[in-house]
Amino acid sequence: MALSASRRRFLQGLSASMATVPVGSLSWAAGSGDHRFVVVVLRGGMDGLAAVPPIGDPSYAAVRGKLALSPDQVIPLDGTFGLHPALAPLADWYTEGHLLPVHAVGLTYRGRSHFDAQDALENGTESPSGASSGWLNRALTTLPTPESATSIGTALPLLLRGDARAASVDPTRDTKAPDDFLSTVVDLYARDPVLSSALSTALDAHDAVMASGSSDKGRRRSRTNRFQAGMQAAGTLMAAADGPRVMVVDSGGWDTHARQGTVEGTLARQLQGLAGGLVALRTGLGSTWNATTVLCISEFGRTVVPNGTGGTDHGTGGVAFLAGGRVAGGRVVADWPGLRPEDRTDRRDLRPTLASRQVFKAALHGGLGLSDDALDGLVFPGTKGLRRPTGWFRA
Amino acid sequence: MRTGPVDPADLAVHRFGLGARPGERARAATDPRGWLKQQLALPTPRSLRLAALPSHPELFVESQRQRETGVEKAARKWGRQHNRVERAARFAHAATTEAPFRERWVRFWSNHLCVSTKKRPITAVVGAHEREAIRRHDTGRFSEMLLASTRHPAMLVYLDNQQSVGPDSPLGRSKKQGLNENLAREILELHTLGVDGGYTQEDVIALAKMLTGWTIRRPKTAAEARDTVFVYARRRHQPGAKQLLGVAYPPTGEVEARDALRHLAVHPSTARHLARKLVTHFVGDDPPKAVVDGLTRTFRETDGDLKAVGEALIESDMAWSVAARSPKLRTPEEVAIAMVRASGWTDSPGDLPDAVLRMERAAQQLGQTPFEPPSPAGWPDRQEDWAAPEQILRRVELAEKVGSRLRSTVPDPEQWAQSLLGSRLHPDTRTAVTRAPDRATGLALVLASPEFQWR
Repeated sequence: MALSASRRRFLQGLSASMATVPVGSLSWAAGSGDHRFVVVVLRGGMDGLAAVPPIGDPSYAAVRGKLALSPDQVIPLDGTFGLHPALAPLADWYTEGHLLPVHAVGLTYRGRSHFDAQDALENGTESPSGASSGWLNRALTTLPTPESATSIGTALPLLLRGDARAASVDPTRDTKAPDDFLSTVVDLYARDPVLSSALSTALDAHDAVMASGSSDKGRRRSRTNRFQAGMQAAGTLMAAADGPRVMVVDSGGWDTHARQGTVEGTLARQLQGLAGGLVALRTGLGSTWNATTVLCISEFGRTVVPNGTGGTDHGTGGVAFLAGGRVAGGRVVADWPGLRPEDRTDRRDLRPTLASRQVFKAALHGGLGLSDDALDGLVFPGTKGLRRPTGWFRA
Repeated sequence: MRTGPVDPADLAVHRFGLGARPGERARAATDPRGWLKQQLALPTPRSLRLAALPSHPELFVESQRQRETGVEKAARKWGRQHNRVERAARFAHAATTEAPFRERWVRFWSNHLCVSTKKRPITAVVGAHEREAIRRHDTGRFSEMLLASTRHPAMLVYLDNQQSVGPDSPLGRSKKQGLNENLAREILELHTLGVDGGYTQEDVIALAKMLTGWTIRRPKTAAEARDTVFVYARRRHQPGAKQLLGVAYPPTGEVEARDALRHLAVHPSTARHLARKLVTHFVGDDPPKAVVDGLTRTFRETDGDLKAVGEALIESDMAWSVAARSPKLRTPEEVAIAMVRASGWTDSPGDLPDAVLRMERAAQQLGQTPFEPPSPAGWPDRQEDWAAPEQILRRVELAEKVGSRLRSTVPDPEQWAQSLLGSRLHPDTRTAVTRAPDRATGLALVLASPEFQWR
C-alpha cells in the first residue's frame, strides 16, 4: 500500500476545500483540547489478581493455589501489591510516576456475561441496555470544542457511539486492493466530501503504520502483534497536530478459562502483549505522551480460586490501569477488601470497593478536564452518589 | 453530487429498492410509483429457499434432538449452522427478488422489532422470527405484527420475558423470583411510543406485570410440538388490576398484555415515532416534517395499516423531491445485495454458489453481521454510522474484488453503468470507467462510485 503520500495529501486538501469544514475542527489547538485520551478495552475479563497480585495479602498464596506467584517472581510495587513479571516494561513508568494501578474495581452491574458486562462498561450505566450511546461519546459532547475521536478496528465500539462524531480505522490490516485502483477511487471521490474524507483518513492511517515500521507482514498475523501495531498507529495518529484527540483500542483474548499459567503461559503472553502495546503507544506519541491519559479497563475480573482446568472463570472485581504523563502514579490505589471467602462477592469473586464509573469520572476529569456537573449530568446521569476520586492527576 | 435531474425510475430502483438488476429500470420506468405500490399489494413474496425453511417449533424439536444425541455443544453448533442457512436464503431472496421495495419494507420492520444472535440461545430462531412475525404481517396492521413479534419465542428469550415472574404470582411467592422489565421497557421505548412518547417507570412496571406468564415451553418431541412454543404460564402471572398510560386493565390473565399491545400499537406517540423512523430510513437523515406529519396522519386514520402507510410514503411528493431528501449511504448488507443484483445472478435449486455465499459474508467484514444488530435498538440508520474510514476502505476493496470476478460475464462496463445507474451516473464516473485500463477495473469503479454507494 503505497499511494504516494504527497499526492494523497494534495487530493485530501482539494476535497477539504470543497467540503464545508466545521468551524470547531479548526480550533482544536486553541481550546482545552491539547490533551490526548486513550481507552484500551481489555475484552474477555482480565485476571486482575494475576496482573497486579496482592502478594502481601495473608490469604493470597493459599487461595490462588497453583496460580499464585511467589514474592521473588513479581516486581514489588508496595507492601501489598506486585506487578506481574510480564508487565516489566511498565515498572519504569511506575517509578517515574506515570502508572497508577487501581485495584478492586468493578461494574455496579453484576451479571457475568461478557456481552452484557461489556455493554454496561461501555454505555456507562447500571445495565447492559441502560443507554444506546457510550460514555466516552457523551463526554465528547460536553467539551467546549469538538474533539475528533477514533477507534482502531472496523466498526465503532459502543464506547464511542452516540451524537459526537467518531471514526474507526484498522491500519494493522493490509489493504487488499492495488494502489493504482485506490488512487483512481480517491480521484473519483473528489466530488464527494463524505466518502473522500473517509477513504483518505483510512489510507493515511494505513500509511502511518507502514511508515512507523510496525507493520511487518508476517508477524502481524498474531493477535498480540496486531494489537501492538494498532497501539503504535494510535500514538502516531494522535501525535499529529491535526490528529484525533481521543482514541479507543480493543484488546482481546483475556478470557483465560484454561491453563492460564503463572510466570509463563497464556496470560503472561497477554500481559506481555499489553505492556508491549502500551510501550508502542508511547513511542508513537513521542513528547505528546506528557499530555496523554491512558485508561486500561476490563468488563470484569476473574474468580479468586482457580478452576479445575488451570484457569479462572468470570468474576467481578479486577484491576484498571491509568497511565500517562499527567497521571500522579507510582502508587497502587486500592481499598482492599481481602481474599477470604467472607470478603468476596458471592464468596467467589474479588469484591469491588470502587465502581468502574468512579474510575471513568476521575480519568475524564483529570484527562480531558470534564467538570463534575458534566460528569454527573450528561455523561453518567444520576450518579452523584458515585463520588469522583481525587488526587490521581498532577495538579 | 449529481449534475442533471434524477429520473424517478432511478429513485424507485435505488432509493426505495435494493439496487437495479439488469432490466429493472425499464420495468420501473413507465410508472415508478405504481411499480412500488404494486409490490405492497402482492401476497408475501417468498422465494423457494425461504419457503423451504422450517417453522420455529420444528427448529425447537430439532435443537432438542441435537441436545440429546450429543453434548450441549452439538446443539449450539447446529444452531449456528442453521443460522447460516437462514442468512443465505434471505440474502439470495433479496439479491433476486422482483419486489425489492417490499424486501426493504420487510427489513425495515425486522430491524424495528429486532432480535439478535448476540443473545446466543436464539441463534437458530432469529430467522424464523423474521419469517413468521415480520414477513407474514408486513402489509397488515402494525398491531398484528407487534403482537406476533412480542409472542415469538425469539423475542421472549431475547428480551428475557420468558423468565419474568410476577412477584405475587404463585411461582413468585414460592420461589422468590421476580419481574424482568426488559421486554416491557423496549416495547415502550423502542417498539411503540418512543423514548419521548410520554410513559413513566410505573408504566414500564405495569406492562412488565401484564406480560408475566408470556413464556415458552420447549417441545421434547415432534408429537408435542404445536404451531408455536409460546405458552401462557398462569403460575407466573402477576394477579390484580393494572394501570397503563392512565387506562385501567382488569385482571384477565393472558389477555391483558394483548390488549395493552393493541392499545400501544395505535397510540398517537407510536404513529409519530414510526412515521419519523420510516421517513428517516427512506427519505433522509433529517426527515422533512411535512412527510412525517403525512405518514403520522395516515397511520392514525387507518389504525396502523402498514400497506396504507407504505402507499402514503410513495405518494408523498416530498419523498421524491430533490430539495427534501438527502442522500442515504447504503448499509453494508445493502451494498452486498446491490452488487449481486447488479451482476444479474439468478438462483437455481441446489447449493448456493460460493461467490454468492462470500458476498453474504462480505457485509460482516464491512461491520454488519446479518441478524446480529448490536442492541434491541437495531442497526443505526444514519450516514455517520456507516461512513467510518475503515468501512469505506473495505467497501472500495470489495468493489475491486467483485469487479474482477465479473470481468468475464459483463462485456461493457460503460453500458453496464448506464443500465444500472441511469440518470444517476455522473459524468466523472463515466469518464473514469471509460478510461479504466481493463474491464475489471472499469466494473470495480462502477461499484465503488458514489452513485452506487449512496441511494
